[in-house]
Amino acid sequence: MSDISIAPGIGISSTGLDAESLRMKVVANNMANAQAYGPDGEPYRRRDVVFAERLNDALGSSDPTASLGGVKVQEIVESDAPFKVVYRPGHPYADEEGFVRMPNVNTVEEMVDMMSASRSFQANLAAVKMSKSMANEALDLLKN
Amino acid sequence: MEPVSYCALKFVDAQQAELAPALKPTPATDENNPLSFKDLMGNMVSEVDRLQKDADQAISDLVAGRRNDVHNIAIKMDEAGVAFDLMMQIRNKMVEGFKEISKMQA
Amino acid sequence: MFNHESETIELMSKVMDITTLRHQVLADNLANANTPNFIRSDVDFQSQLTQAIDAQDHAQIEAVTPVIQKDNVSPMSPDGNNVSVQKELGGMMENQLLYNFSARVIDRKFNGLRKAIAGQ
Repeated sequence: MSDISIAPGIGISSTGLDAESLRMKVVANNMANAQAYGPDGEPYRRRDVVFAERLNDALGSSDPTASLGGVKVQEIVESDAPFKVVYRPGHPYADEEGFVRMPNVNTVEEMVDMMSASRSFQANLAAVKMSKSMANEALDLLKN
Repeated sequence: MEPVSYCALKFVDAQQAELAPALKPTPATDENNPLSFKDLMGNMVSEVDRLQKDADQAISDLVAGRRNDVHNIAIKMDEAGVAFDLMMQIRNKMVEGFKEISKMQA
Repeated sequence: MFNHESETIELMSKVMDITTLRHQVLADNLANANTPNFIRSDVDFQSQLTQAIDAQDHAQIEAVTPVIQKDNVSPMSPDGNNVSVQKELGGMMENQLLYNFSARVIDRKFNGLRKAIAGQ
């Protein structure tokens, strides 16, 4: 990846696109596994992304924006929210009293996360379009 | 700004500064003392200059945060541009006419 | 009053410098809209610029330096983040329009100069 940037901020916005699309993948995975169990009978634990500000090494640069790097996914963590216990005697993983632990995935929460990620993705995309527009205007100065 | 373009711009500015005294419009007078063609041309030049300065003032007002009606500023810039183009066309026609007339002398 | 071609061009060039910088700062805010404990930044330049224009001091305009500042005023959500996607996008759009406008003014000025030089 080169350091040349004709469209200002496009690199920064693309980190937003990367991070939000990864978040959407993780959320989709949670929803797909909302009823899933491991081979050992362990319920699926939902995963979450942890975002962090990305800072570039700006030592010795005279450009005040040199350190701005957008965002990065620091890690993907498993949630330690407790499993809900329900009474379902017919369930393959039910215990002797008929209780089974359900994966700690709340579909409503996941939908909200998905919408938030999607909205932020669109916003970063709009920012990319603006960068391109600015670059084109500057390049138009060279016409004629 | 690079030295060469800076010099070019300063050259044009200097031309404008030289013209400054001539840029005051000659007032219209009564029938007995009609404006000469020279006065008419002078008035046109000063009008073009006025429109230009008006547009520049509007631009710097926008940047200073004093106004935000971009459409009016764009219109002022267009007016100044059209006035300039018109003046150039008239000037060119005059030069053509002059050349034709000088050919006739013989 | 800027009645000299070069002054308007240099003013708009300075505006383009400032809006370029501000776009990057706002893009960074937007990318971090969901980062916990992230405090947004913005660029302070208007008062410096207005003062320099009012002073009609060309050197002062050249000297205007935009300053990146943390915005500790905007309200935070529970995770400590104070970026509003709407506000950020709105700010970016205005900023971009100012950038584009400045480019077009410069283009006009140079075209006018070329016409004057060519005598067409």
